[in-house]
Amino acid sequence: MRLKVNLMSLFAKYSKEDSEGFTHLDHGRTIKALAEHLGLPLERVKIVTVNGQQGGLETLLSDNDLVYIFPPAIGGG
Amino acid sequence: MKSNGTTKSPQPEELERYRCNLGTVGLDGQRALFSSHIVIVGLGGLGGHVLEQMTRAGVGYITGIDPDVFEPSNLNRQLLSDVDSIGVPKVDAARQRVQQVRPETGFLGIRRHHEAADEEVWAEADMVFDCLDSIADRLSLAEMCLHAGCTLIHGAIAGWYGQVAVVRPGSHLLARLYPDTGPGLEKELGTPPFTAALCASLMVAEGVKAICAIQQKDQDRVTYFDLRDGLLWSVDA
Repeated sequence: MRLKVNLMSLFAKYSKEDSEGFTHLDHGRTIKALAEHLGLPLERVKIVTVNGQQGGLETLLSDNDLVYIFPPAIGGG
Repeated sequence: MKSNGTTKSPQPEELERYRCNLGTVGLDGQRALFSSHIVIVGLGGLGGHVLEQMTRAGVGYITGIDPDVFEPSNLNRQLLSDVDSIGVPKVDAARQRVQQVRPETGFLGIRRHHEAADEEVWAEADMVFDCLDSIADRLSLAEMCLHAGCTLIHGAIAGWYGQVAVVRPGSHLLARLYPDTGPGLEKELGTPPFTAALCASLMVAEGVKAICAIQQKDQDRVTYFDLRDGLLWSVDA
């Protein structure tokens, strides 16, 4: 299946988009499988949305899903 | 409200000074602000802007906590700093600023780490602003607020990005948000002035809504923004 995956902030460097901006993953896989496919540090995958709804590591993905994954920010001083 | 930051009712001339707030928060909301007691932990990039805006919002009492003095590398983003204040304790600059903007607002500066502050600080607070810059300190503060039953307004930045959350009494949101106590993205992405100012503004908006009982949510939510692409999301967390 093909997904539109937006990796925010420092996660952007893990992108594996094709030339049309899609990320490819086997059918029936989860956010966790996507994160592992991309090489994201799983312990920092804390805020996920799928088609505008809250998701998590066990959220099942479908063809053409729109995914955002945010790492937590820390600075402030 | 746990406390009463202003002991007397606002005078007509004071309400006139805040009439540009009234259309947004209402008279009852402005009175709630006049009576509120907030704690700002960290008076740097986020904390300086939070102090400025909450003072102008008209809060009655502010406790500011920060052990540090200003350094040259603070000048890019920290509102309370200038070239003449290098070496000055941040709590002293905060006290002076509050006095300049709203002398009616009481201010207590605590030049210590927040873990060394007296328990009364948290017991008397209506709201605590997390303007810190390490996961360990943020989780420690969240734990103290959880123990004291305080609402915690959390904000954090990294480069073009930032996040804000309202941590309600009883919530373990920050412990869920942060995986460990390792280094953050900001070391790589920096902490520019515009991201700090916007994040602080979002924190203040959430704080004012909570004090004025406007648009309150039962669900834990995190607002995340991306200034590089001009985007903002609020998601359940």
